Amino acid sequence: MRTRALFGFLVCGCAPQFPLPMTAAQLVQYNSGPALVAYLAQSDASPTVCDLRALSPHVPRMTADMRAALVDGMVEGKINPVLWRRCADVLLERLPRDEIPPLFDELGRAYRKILANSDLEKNPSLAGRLATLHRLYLDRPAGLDSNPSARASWFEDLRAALAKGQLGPVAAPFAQELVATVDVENGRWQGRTVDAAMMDALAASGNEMTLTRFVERLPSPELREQAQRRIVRVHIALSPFQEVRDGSAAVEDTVIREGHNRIALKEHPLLSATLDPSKTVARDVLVRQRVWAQNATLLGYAASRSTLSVLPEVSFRGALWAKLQKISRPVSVCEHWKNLDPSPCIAADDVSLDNPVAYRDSGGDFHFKDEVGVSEVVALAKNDKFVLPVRIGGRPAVSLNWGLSYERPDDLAFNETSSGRVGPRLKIRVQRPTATHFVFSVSAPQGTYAVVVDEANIHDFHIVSRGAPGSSGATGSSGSPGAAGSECSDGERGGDGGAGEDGGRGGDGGEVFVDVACGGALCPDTVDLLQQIILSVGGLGGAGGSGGAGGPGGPGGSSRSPSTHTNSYGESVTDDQGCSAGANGSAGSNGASGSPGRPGRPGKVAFKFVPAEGT
Amino acid sequence: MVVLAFVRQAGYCSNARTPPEADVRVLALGVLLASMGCAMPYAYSFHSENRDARSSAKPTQREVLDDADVRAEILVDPTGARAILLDLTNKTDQVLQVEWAQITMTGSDGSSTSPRPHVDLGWILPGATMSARLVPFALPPSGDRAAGYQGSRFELVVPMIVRREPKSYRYSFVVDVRPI
Repeated sequence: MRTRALFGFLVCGCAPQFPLPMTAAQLVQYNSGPALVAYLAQSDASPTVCDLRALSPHVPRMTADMRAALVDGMVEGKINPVLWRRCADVLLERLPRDEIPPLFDELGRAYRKILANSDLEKNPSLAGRLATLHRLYLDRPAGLDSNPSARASWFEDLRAALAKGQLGPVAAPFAQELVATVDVENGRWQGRTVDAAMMDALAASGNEMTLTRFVERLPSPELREQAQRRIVRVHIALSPFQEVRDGSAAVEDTVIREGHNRIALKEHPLLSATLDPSKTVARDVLVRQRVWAQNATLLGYAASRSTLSVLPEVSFRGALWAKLQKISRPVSVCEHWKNLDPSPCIAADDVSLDNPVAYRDSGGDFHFKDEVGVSEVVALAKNDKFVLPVRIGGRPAVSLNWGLSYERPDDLAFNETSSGRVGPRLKIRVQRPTATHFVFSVSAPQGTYAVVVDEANIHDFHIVSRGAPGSSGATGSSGSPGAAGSECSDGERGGDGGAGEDGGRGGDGGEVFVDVACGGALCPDTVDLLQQIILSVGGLGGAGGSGGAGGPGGPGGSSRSPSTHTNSYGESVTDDQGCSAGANGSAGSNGASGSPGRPGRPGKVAFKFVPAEGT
Repeated sequence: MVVLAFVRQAGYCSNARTPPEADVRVLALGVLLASMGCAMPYAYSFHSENRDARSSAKPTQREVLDDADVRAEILVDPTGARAILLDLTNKTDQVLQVEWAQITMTGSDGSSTSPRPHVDLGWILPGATMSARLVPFALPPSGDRAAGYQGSRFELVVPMIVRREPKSYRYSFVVDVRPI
């Protein structure tokens, strides 16, 4: 797969094109910078492909090629900045320490390029991309940075440009904020040393902006924790939960220690739950089966867009709301610790999804396997919808129901290949777990195959046992060449070709035994339908052999020249008149072609009703 | 070179500010603009589409948007200040927190920016007004790209915590672009 994309790159000398949609597993196979950009440019792409320790498929390492492509992909507007930022955040969390400076060097290169672009002063998109790089740098975890030498010279240039007024009204605030943030890294803000009194004053005015800078950039962990505490106090003062404001000191300690204010569900059992539709992702799922490989790709689509894409991730933060016993207001799933939210919340690992292809990542969001095996394909068909039942603390809470459809699979055609032999014997079990899905399990000599077919596609799908074609008849013998004529006489006619052999009879279709478990559907209707699509077909008759070619005629005999002599009177006397050459003999007739063989006969197809599973 | 630097600093084309002491530069600028066939300069005005909004009579006046809790006065200036000037008044009896770092300005073309106050700000006390200069917000001042914004729409989303409840204020604007 990688070779194919690379070949395209070499031939056209341009960016390689990839077949889309591209799943995370396919990205791992391509394993290149352009592939990473192509993946992330898709709707609903997941940033977990950037997580080097993710459970789901992800890039194995961040090569220089990927680093450059990732940064350029955002700067050139190919990757949505919000998604890009999430990818970059997880990289900063997971990359080995020695790979962080080269990443920031790359970011710095892109940053400087945009800052020097005069279009920045009039292009809101470009300013947005610069802001994305800018925030990533300012919000980065403490201790991570670019190479010191490169950084020093860059900041020197930046300060000089600011001092000389060389930056426009859009560029200048970015530069000013960068320079100011360096002061915070040295423990100073607006010319003063940062201390508890300054932080208290900021908290008293609700200034989370500055306190957040302190949390991210102050030089010591102790100072950063002090800033965190002030932010938590601001949040507690604004909290709608009376119990949070009443227990402010304990809540503050909990949030600082654990990053959130998790509720113990044993003490506060679930009463009811709802989903906020405005914050809940909704998609439809398309299953693309590869019947012979017995696996499938799950893809997503939505009414609002025309193209298929990968399945989205699902976050329940702010979307799932639960009423819990003895908690004054509905609560949602705990926010990321960076938000320092004191609201009572449900821990991400208290929420589960009962779906065979869903799994939770380390951050608490849910993902779907996009490459699945046949057992999962069949399991999904038990429902009309792609059902996502949500449990909170093990108790059923709410359910998400997405549309589910199966792309029409290839026909399951089992063809005997040895001439004239009977088609494979098939044993088929048909289930109809819902009105919209047919599940076929086919036992054939070469193995067992399962496939799911939507009712909408059932008339176009076939399962076939086909006899082998008959053997082809042998070609008739060639006629012998005619004998050559003697001097002055004609050649003889060539011999006639022999008749071609008749083709062999096609093999009969194999026997097919079909067990039908109708489930809720009407059995006679189902069988009528199945009789049209489950077939036993005889093989075609073999082609008749061609007749042998007639032999070529014999060549005519050679001519003889007249002979003369001169007598005693000096006269020329003809001794022999000579003769002309003989004609070539005519070719023999071609032999007659053999007759085509008779086709094989259809085999028996027997239907039997059986109880549905579980009845 | 000096002239080019001046053009870049002052803006674009004939609406550029001309320092009085720079007569020679003005002359050079005129020659330069004539030779480069300079694009038409435009002025933008953003008019609120929100119900109950009080629209400004002049492009330099603010649009006023009011509800029971918050009064917002907004002037979008994408070519001069290259900023959104936002005054918010807290009409409630509790502090009002603005999520200053989460403000977004989204265009009907799908472009989205996150302008932030040019200085760090905190919450707004009951009855108080806070002024914010949200930067950057810049649009092309001249040429076809500027003219292309005629009739386009923007939405300024300002997340706040009002009476302890999270709430997103959405201010919608339609753009009027006129040659100057």
